Amino acid sequence: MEKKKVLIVDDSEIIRQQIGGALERAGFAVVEARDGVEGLECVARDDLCMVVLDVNMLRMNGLEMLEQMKTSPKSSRLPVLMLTTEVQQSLIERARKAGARGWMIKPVNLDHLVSTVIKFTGT
Amino acid sequence: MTRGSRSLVHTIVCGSVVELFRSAGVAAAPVERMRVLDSDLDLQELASSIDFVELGFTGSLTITLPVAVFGLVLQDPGRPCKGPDWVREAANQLLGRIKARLIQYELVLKVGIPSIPSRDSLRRMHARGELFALYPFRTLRGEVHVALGGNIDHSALVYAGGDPSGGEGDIILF
Repeated sequence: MEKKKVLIVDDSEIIRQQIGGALERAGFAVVEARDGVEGLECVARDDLCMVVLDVNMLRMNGLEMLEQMKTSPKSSRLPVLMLTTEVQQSLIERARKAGARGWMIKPVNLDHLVSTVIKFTGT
Repeated sequence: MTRGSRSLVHTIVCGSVVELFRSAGVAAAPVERMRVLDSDLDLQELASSIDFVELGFTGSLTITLPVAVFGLVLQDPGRPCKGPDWVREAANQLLGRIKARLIQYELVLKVGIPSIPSRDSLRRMHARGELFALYPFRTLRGEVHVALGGNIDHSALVYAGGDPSGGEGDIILF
């Protein structure tokens, strides 16, 4: 059976490695992107079940990518979990209004992240 | 700067650094030094810098450590990371922790993207009188240095109460 595919969008290679490793061990396939522009390319190209999305990235930040995803029929219903050091209520509210399913604060608790991905993907 | 506000900044930064390294499996203890040593102004083998802005002031945070200290960091053996990547993310997470604590003082830092500082950046900052503070931390394999620079307005640190929306590792579900 083909594995469910999760996209990780973060400009930090170490974050992509940590999360990718944890999700692969949990039985997911992983696609990685370094910023919102690459992330949108992956969303258009790949058959994804979920996106884990950083906020602060140089070339198109996570909130901009999220807002663009919601304009496309293919990606508008994909569950998105934001991943960031930010704790500002205004940013959290912007993500919620744009349709994100959750907001995770770094450093990542990998067990919580994996269980949240499993919950959102119905795995 | 008043002693009170210097002490407050010291507490916020030191607490954040100790917690960050603890989460990475490294014990780091603040070192009390009455003045900045000349050797403190040299960047060590791994370094990352990140700028921030608030209304009225701009600043930067620089974290620097020897490769030997990075060797203490807990790693996923299946996907080990490189030192430069780790210190870049460490700068990001450290400033994130500091930023979260500053929300109680109604300071909302706008944070940039981590970058690699030039080798003489701390020296030049010190020469211009812009080195706000340099905090050394001792580990089993050497010192970590965290430097704050810029025209930081410490008088803006007025406690207003209120908690940030979440803590490190939390997931807020909508």
